[in-house]
Amino acid sequence: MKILIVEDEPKAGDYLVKGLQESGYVADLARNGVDGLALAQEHDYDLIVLDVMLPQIDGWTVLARLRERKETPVLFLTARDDVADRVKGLELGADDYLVKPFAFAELLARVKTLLRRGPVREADIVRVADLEIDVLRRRVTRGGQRIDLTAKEFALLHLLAKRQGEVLSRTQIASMVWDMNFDSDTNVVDVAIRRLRAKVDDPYPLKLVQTMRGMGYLLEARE
Amino acid sequence: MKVELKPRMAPQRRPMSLTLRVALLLSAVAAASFLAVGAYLYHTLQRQMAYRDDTELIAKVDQIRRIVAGLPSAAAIAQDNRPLTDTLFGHNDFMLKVNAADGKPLVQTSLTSRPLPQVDSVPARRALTLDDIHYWQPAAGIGRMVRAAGIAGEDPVQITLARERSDRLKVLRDYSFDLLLALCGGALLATLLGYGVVRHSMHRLRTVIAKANDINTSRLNTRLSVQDAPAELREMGDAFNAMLDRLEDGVQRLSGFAADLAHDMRTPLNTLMVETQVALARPRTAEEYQHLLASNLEEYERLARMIENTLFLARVDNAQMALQRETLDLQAELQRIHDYFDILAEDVGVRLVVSAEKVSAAIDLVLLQRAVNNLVSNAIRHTPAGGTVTLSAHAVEEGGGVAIVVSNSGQGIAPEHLPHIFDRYYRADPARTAGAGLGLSIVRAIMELHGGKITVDSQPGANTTFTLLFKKI
Repeated sequence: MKILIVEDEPKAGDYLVKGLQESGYVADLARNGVDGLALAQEHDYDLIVLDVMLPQIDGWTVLARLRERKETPVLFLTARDDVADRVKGLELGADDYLVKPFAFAELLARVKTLLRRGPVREADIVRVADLEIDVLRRRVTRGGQRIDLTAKEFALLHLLAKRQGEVLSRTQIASMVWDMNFDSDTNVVDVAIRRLRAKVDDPYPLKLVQTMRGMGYLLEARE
Repeated sequence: MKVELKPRMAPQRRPMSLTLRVALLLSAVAAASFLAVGAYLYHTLQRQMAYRDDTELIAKVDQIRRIVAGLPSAAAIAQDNRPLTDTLFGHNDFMLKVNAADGKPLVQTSLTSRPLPQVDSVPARRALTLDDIHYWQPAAGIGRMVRAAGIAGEDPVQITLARERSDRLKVLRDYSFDLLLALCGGALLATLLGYGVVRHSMHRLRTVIAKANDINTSRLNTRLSVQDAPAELREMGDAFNAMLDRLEDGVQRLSGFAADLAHDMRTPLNTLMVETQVALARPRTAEEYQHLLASNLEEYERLARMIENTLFLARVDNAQMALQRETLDLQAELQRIHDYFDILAEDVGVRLVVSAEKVSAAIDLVLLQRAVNNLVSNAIRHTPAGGTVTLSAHAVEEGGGVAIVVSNSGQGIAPEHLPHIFDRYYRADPARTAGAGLGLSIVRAIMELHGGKITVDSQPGANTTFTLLFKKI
């Protein structure tokens, strides 16, 4: 999977390349709109991450010119959280947007969604190591032992298991499990994770719920 | 950056100064009234003169009739016309003609400059009135004439008396010239006096302008002194001062707001700088670096949240926020918020209870969540273990709106803090660092956006109750 990053801010460009490469993507970087547009037209990228504020020609122009010829998915980054800006980007043919500052986990999640072609059918049974989640029967077992979870605990575990190996931020978790769609500074998610751990991890030697300090949580069997 | 361009206006002439305008208006009014009075005087004079001339004409004809009546026959008139011509002695602007019944001229003093019109003759038995006098047009001036029958002995005669008044016209012309001169002088005088008076009155206005010019953001406390000003200026000055009050308040709040924001950003920035400097002072293990970065990340998030909240409030202030109202089942929404906070409340030993009626209202979902979340998270934080936080919603009879109530047991809020808790960055406890002190300001801003309001009721040592009132749309 090849991704083009068009970003003029040196540090931002570098960390985006590094982060995406470490997540298993091939990433190229263009530091201005002209180079970015040339690269995008020349090569076949699977996705373009496009900053709006660029020297020479801005992101809007790059997007409009690109759309004359190609349908490469575009995720645009903006520091201005204006409704007008977002609408403009989507009207010009962008596929998604992120407002700075954003969590890297959030960017990664958006990238994955955009690269996923077509809807994916969710598995009925999700397994992580010896943990097994039966989605239809809403039953969780570990090493064959039944674990009783509340509805929200089940939703939380299911979310982490579906996206295993992927870091989910507190905001993402709050949004997907409790439908709370704003950045809150409460530690509800931390408490919920602690309670989930008490049931799913504490009695077993192999810990599955991992904390990525400062970023969020993920479900992964670590040796 | 969106820049609003003012529509370019076509070059326009500057409007006239108020002083000049009032002075010109005064002179126009003066000229108009002088003109009216002059015209009236002119006509009065003209009428008076015509009346005098006509009565004189009647008197002369009466006299001639009497003289004629004293004569034995029409022939006697022709024989000696002196008694008749003597009546006109000294009046050489008169013309007398006496004709016999057959038209034969008996007396003819002089010829008129133009022929006289044919008018009806007044019968010999009837006395003359002003209506019998006729106008005629001589070569110059004004002509009046009368024709009347007389009787000499047994013979009827025709008396024609005419007069040409060229001097009358001259008198009137002179008079109107004088009038016009007086009128112009008067109007000019009125203009000058008016200009002086208005200019003097405007002087006050200029002092007000000078004062206003003196005002800038660092000297907003200047006020116009309006006590001894004329009523109209006092009204304007009062309005101006009221505007200054509002501006001063706004600017003060804004600069206080900016200072608070900068101040608040210092704490996490300082942590970031010092922590990183300490870490870099000597080589560390990978775990230590990881710990540092993670700790930094927490501070960054704090900064990002601070900026986000500030931007949110700025957007509400500038009315840039578009509400996306949808009809919400408040019972379900409160239950959802309860489910979210329940584990947190349970964790700190606080009971979280929902007791909502089945009510719905048109509210922006994300903003409602944000407002109630802020209140509930505050309430849980301030409720001691074993306490209760109650979330409820009910219809309001008055006005038909709905109310969402968040109340908690605990120490309550001290009365001295109560009026300020909705102010930005206000903290009842200065040492407390959790939160940036924007939570309740944001709740209030959200309520104002919805056209609703927030009220608080708290007694120290008892319950604290926040009520969100949404008006019916």
